Amino acid sequence: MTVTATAGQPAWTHSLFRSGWLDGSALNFFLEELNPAWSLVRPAVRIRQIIEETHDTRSFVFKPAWGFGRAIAGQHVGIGVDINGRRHERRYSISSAPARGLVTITVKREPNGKVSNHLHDRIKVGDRVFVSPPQGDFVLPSPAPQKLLLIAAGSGITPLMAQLRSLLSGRYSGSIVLLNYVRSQQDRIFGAALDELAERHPQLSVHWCLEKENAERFSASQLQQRVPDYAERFALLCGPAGFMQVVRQHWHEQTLDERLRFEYFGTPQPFKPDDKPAGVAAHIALARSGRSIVAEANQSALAALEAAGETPSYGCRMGICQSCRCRKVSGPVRNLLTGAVSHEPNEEIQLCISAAEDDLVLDY
Amino acid sequence: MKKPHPSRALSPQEQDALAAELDALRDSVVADLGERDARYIRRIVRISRYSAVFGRIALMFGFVPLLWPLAVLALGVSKILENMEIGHNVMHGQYDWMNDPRLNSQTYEWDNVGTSDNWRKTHNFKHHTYTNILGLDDDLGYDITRITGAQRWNPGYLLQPAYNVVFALLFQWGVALQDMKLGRYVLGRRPLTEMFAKLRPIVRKSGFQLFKDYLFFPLLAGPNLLAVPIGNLIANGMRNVWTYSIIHCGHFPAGVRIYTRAECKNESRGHWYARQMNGSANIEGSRLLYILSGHLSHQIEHHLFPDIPAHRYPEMAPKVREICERYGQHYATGPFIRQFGSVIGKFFLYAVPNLQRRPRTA
Ligand code: FES
Repeated sequence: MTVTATAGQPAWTHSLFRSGWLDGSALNFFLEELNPAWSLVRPAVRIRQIIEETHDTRSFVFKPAWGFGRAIAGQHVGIGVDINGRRHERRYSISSAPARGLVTITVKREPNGKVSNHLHDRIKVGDRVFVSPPQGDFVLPSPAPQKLLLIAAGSGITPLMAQLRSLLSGRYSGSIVLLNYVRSQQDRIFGAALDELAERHPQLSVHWCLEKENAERFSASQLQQRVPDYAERFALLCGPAGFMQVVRQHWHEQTLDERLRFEYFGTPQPFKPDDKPAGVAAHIALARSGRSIVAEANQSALAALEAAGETPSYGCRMGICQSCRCRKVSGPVRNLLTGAVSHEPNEEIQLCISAAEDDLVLDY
Repeated sequence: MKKPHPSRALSPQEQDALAAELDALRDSVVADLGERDARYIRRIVRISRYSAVFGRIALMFGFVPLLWPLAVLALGVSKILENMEIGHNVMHGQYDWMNDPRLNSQTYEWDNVGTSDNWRKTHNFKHHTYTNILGLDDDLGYDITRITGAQRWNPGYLLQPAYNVVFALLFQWGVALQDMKLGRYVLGRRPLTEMFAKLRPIVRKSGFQLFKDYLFFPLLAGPNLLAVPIGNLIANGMRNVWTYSIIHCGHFPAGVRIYTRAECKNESRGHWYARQMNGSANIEGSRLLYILSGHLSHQIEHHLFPDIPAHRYPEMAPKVREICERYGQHYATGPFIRQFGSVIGKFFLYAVPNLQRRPRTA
């Protein structure tokens, strides 16, 4: 599963590069020449193993470079690949239990997903991918609650699989129910592994809810029937946005919100403004301040920021000096000079010549 | 430049049509960017890094005949590549589309006493936006050289042919301090505290450069202590003189037009394009010269498309030239000797006050 999040390079490499007293870029160049995994900027590690999970989902196993740190179950990593000279990075949840040594990510092929298709079609064992450190707060409280309910839909099982593996390989003695919604038999990601885990650990019960074969979907009554004691359980939820909306709504109605943790994948939707006033083309969320501002149609993001009282840096205001560069976390922008629209997440844009086509998230 | 500039004036409609044609050319190249460009710049980075390593290690063997000059040359070429084809171009955002953190316009730091932050402001913004507008483009004579009759003369300019030799040798320092406008502080027009605050990053950066070239590597060389700093000094000098010459060929040779502020008020995109064309000059030469100049040999194309990977300019040049001709715009180009000769000629010509009435500049 993918999560769009900040593709930061560790702060210390940044300061190393700018410090001046150590020629970080020269040091980094030769480290990379010796071994791309020793990069101080973005290590590239070899894929050790590829596991076919289902017809459209594969797991990739690699050994992280030094500086990766130790992931917590539920976190995701940035995976970068170069496609026709351009580096594309997406975040994928780790599906293996946190441990020293190997890390596994599990990737479902998205219909138009540049990176997921590249990983599936091009990457072979022995190829390198760029890896950035684990992030994310989709983690269990510590100590883990004694009664757990994990709700997954589709590839949303990935971070939950890491949770399960980590809980069951440790000293956890509580009870876990996994509600796993999949389209059909052949879409059962980790099918065999989950069956095996359930067999070895009586404390785990796995429910497969098959949409196609059994027409089983999430509903209040379905939940009640499958997991009568769900209200007593601490719940973790991960799946497509629409699915999560329905589940969250139910928990909300039961006033159980603080007993539910969730993670979106795909493009995060920090707000859903369906009632835009006239003249407003889009909302721009400013990730650093948490502010949300409005942009008019054809208005440059620079002008929109200024109209909202922000003071972004700029120079030429015509797309040549790069003073106004800013990272776009997600959302479509139109280049005011060429008319080209880009949906690429985590992309650097020039604010002065980019207009929001729809709602945006800026790293500003 | 007593005769009117050879380019004809463009009507607003023609300006728009010109902009549309140049935008279309730009779009076609942008759409084609990919693997080839990534491979090219990474290869240049590699050449620059390895020739620096060779140069620095070979210098440590002392004044060995043949080896020592070769080492100096390798280090000099490495510094030239790093400043011109890599540093200058990366900081223009030419490779930002690659999304490679090592080639990012905002974080790249070059091997030069000037700080990249400063450069991004003086060069990318001021010079490229206000190219050749008298009073706005600080690169017009770099405040110290009179290269057009429109600049007011003072007796100091009598010495400009001489002090330009010094300027060429120390070019990186000139660039580093350009934005400081030190005169303001000397004359007491601005507080000295501000000067010190602004100088701090420059001192830090140049301190590191001096430490590296004249202390750290010489000490590593042990007994061959002297061969290293002398080699570094020559390599830095080589780079300074070369960049000085290339950059002076960019906007000062004959046939390049200077603009007034009034002419550029509320200018259209087409006017901006025409100004870039008329305000820049190319150098003709071999591929090696192009690469070593960071493709500033194609200053016209660079000024039209500052964020397109520079190694693409030679392919774009015939098309640009054809567009220029169709719109009756002058395309100033010539071999290095002629272009640079013309600049030196201006140093002498404008060292003295204007002989006749003020020549037309517009
Ligand atoms: S302000 Fe110069 S590129 Fe945006």
